[in-house]
Amino acid sequence: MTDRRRINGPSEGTTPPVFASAVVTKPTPTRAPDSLRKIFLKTSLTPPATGSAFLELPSPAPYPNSSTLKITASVYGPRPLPSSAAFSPHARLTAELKFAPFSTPHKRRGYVRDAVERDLSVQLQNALVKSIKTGAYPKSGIDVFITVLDCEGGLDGDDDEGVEVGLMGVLAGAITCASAAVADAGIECVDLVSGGVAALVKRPQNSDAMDTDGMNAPMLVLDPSPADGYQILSAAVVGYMAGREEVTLLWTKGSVGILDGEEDELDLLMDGAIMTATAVRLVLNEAVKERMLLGLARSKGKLKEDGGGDVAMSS
Amino acid sequence: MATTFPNIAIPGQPLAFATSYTPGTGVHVFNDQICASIVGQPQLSTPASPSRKEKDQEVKQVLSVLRPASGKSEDVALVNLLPQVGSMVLARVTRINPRQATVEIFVVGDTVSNDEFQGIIRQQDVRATEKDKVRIFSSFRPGDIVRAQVISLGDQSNYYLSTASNSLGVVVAHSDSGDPLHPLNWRQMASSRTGAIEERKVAKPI
Amino acid sequence: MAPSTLTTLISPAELSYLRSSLALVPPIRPDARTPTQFRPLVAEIDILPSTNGSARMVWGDGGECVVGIKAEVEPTEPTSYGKRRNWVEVGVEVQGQRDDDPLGVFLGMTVGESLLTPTSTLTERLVITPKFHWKLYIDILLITPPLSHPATLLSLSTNLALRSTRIPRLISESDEDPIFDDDWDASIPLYSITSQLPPITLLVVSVEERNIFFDPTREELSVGDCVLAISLASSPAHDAPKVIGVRTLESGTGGIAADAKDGVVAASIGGVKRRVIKRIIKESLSVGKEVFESLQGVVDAN
Repeated sequence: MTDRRRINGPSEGTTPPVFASAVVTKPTPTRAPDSLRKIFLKTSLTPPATGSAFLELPSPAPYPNSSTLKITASVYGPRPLPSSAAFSPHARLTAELKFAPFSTPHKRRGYVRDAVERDLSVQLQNALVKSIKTGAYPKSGIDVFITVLDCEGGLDGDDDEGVEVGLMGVLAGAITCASAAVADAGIECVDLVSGGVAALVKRPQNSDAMDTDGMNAPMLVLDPSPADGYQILSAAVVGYMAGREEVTLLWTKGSVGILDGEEDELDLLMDGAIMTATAVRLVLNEAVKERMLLGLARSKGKLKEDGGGDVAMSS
Repeated sequence: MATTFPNIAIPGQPLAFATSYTPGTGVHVFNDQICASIVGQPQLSTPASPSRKEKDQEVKQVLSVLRPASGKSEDVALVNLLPQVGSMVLARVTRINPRQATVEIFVVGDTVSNDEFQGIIRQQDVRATEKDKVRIFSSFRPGDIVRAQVISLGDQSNYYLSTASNSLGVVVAHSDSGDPLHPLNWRQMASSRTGAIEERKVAKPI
Repeated sequence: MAPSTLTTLISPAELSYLRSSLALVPPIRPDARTPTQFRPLVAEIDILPSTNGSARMVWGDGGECVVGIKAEVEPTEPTSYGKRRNWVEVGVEVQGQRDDDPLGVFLGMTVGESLLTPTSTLTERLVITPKFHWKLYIDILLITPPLSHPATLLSLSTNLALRSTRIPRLISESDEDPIFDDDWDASIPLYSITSQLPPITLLVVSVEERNIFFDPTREELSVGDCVLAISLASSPAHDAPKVIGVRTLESGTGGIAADAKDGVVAASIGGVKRRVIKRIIKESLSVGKEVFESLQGVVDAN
């Protein structure tokens, strides 16, 4: 029975239009595989904390306002444990890593801690605890709080075929930032831990280098970024103490072949990550000394204005 | 190894061989080398009094790494100092009972702490002599500030303190009516306003 | 990470005894096992009739783990944001601890990560039609948590459960809504003989540079220099397994005075040299191969 009193729509019903998803062109990597991104690292930026640091990594994408990796670390301690805690002859280190709700580009993250944050917090704790002389601070707690303000390009790789490397980059940055904050707090450490990431990627098709092994030999990339556009076969992040040449954390994802011969993929990955971490350590050294040098220079009267050279507002 | 030290040392940086100097504060020994443990300036000092067995040998200088007080730009308290065994502290009495006085430590050494640590002064640690005749009620009252020495790290909730020395005991106290008290002798304080005498275990004024 | 309820303080004398006996060449373990010997365990599969796959393992020190796997049909999201890694959900429940306890989360992530590496073809086998797929729920219940770290127990139980998992056979055409055969005997195993087997995770402890121990007890974990959880996948050809993931766990520090000058304090600070890690991973390959063979034995026996 047609209804003549109104203007009707089609009788079979309609379906809403489904737009083809925008063709996302895969970005081509612009950096050389062994070039590392410049790190910005500064300490003592959070006055209430005993020690603090801020780390920023530029994103390789050439657009303006592209998202970068921004991490802030605050260290409190050694401070007394609550009375309910058991007696401990060592300091108790707890690390808590949180993503700010605005840190991922696509979806807003809630405040509730999820499995990813807990997992990264545990890994960070494992990386740091071996470097701190906890035996010097009995009955106390050292708390490290890491907030990721911006994790470049989000955490989920667009590629289901590749290992997602964004989380590893966050962990490496968090390790470096936390070490800077711990050193800024004056807590005794045997060495500073720096984080480094390396990945084995599928060689791009237009690469000139054709190995005798064939096109499929994976290529080692240091400090990979999710925005680089590589297809990642396996990746590793290390927490490395460059002074003592010791590894405190190793986390690998993806299948690595172990061969008895010279070419061992795991060796390649680990050595690549350690190389990255060693280079990051140089930045870490300069950053932790910077604050102290500033204070020493001011106390010697080299800087005339108060506030260490900051521009003061005129009335 | 060069005897010139870097202006600022960072944790893990080797400073000297362990045979050349005695390790002091802020350093540790690794692979027979003295390495820095904190970010700071390496400094040499001569030990205060050589122990008997070192008199025959050359007295080695003490290598430490110190964090300069002006390292931080603002007036934020620096590294949190934890009470060690033997450190002098100032504490405020919070509770008393016939066997012990519970205190909150707020000054460790010369630094005011950011956090307060809980401690206990047991009856037998109040005085050096006649320990069994001590009455806590006549030695401390809640609200008194006492200078004490840490004798033990204690258990999970308390440090153990002692005031068994002439220089240790109550330094600041108020009477029941709120007037400040000034010390008369090792066991009495008097109110400045009324002259009324109250019993405390008093520290010898410096 | 050792569960907070299970860490106990070990005295300096005990730590020194453990460490010096484990640092010997050849090492002496407290229970006189060889470095690569596992403790006796009981394993059985297909014990829960209402699941797609299940397994139960009882470990040498009394720890018991039950794994149940259920599969549900889910519509596939058309956009690329429907991540295939969401098709497998791992839940770990440790008796007596909260849902969000870090240990449970860490274990769940370890197991989940090892299942979803790019080379495992698991997600392809979960596709039913272009519009529907199976979502696999892996629920792991640690009934009596073992005294030592439960990672190995968990992953071996999950491995067995996955191998016993069967998926109903599809009888509809590919364009229609999926309809399955009610006959359970016609169901298809998730891991057939030709596909890559599910991975396992082994816990390894190293003491000094030379000594590497598998299936460590709680005491061995607390004196170790480095504790690694190594995930291995084997190929159907049963040659050497491949490493698909490595994670570092916390090694205990025990209860020692700060001023002790013996080797125990010195060893609990600092990391490990990279050559030690490489040696650990290489050794775990041969042990992993043996573990895969014994798991195959359990599956064949049932």
